[in-house]
Amino acid sequence: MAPLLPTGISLRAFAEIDSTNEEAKRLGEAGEPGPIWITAERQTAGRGRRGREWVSPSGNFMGTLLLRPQANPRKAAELSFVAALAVHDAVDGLLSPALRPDLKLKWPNDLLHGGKKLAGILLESSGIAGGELAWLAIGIGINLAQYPEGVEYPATSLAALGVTDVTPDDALERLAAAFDRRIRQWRDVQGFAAIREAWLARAAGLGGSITVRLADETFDGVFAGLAPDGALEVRTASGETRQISAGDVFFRTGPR
Amino acid sequence: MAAPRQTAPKAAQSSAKAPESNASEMSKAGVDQELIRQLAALLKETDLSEIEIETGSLKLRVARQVSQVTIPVAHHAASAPAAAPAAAAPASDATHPGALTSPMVGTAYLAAEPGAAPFVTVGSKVTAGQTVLIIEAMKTMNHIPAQRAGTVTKILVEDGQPVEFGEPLVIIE
Repeated sequence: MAPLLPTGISLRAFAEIDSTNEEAKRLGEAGEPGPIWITAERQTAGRGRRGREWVSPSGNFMGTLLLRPQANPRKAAELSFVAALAVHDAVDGLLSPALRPDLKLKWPNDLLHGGKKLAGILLESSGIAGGELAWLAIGIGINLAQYPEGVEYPATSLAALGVTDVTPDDALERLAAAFDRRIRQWRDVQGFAAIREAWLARAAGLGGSITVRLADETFDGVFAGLAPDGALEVRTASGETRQISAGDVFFRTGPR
Repeated sequence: MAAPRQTAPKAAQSSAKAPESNASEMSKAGVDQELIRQLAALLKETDLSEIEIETGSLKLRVARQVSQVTIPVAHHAASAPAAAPAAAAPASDATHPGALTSPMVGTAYLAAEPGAAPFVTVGSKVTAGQTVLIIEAMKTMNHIPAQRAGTVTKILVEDGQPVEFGEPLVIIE
């Protein structure tokens, strides 16, 4: 049976594709208005941040939501946190109550369970200063059945947590509904302030020691909070607070 | 079911919600650098020489020197690579008519991934809409398309360099 999606949202499901984000990018450039979910049972070139491979075995969820957010690039970057919350909501609903407290978000949008990565998100967009984005692709991978070994950040899967009967289509239905709600919340009067607050309530390692790796520098500090635009606030030993908009975060004391 | 289901990213109202406005932060942050940056970018975008705003106790004026060169507006960007726009003496990179500026605070990448060939190099011919670099913010990889067809004459950022809103990235003439 075809997955049930919120009204007005369409689906293109592939058995195999290079990457659902690549397909979204192609559709975006071709003028596809969206919103549209693109899913695949297998990806031959699944990617994470900065070209890292995203291991994409059959049985896991791989999908991209293509949007035209009618927002400029600065504003649209907030959708990174909207996406994090939607994925958290969707997976939270699949867990037994006992497992839920350990489900956390790592800045900006990795989903962790007990400190291990359960889902990853990569957004891609195209846009210029002073204009609206042409398109935005929110790529999501959820480790339902399997998780990769030997990766830089330890991973887990729903199956490894004992939740074994979730199909990619189940995950899609929950994700699509959760995105529908969270995007509406983002567009509502409280906008990103409400999203930011909800994100902070689910943040891993808030107040703890972290290491931040930037393109050209790595430094330690305390995860102090989120700036109004979502930038990571890190207090360093010298007492200075740095705002980070792009980088990798590692917990030094282990996330709570 | 109660409320009619709306398609998620429909955005009908969003444009009315002042996409760029963070003005409310001004009161709490004293003089907000980001606001100044936004105003500076707005100056450039609108080609005004001065903007002055006043809210409550704060009065802020952002001004710039506008060079007297008439800027050829190349709307038909796909036509033959236009001759370099009347290069007025030492026009700064930021106000250069061929400058492509950053739409967000973030990190600039000149290639899709580490080790890959750069999107463009100095001398590259580009078509309007072609990706010339990526700015990452909040794990959003924003592809920056060439604003016009032409030749890349300068690359003003390094791979992995943090950039500010409105900062010139490349010059395409």
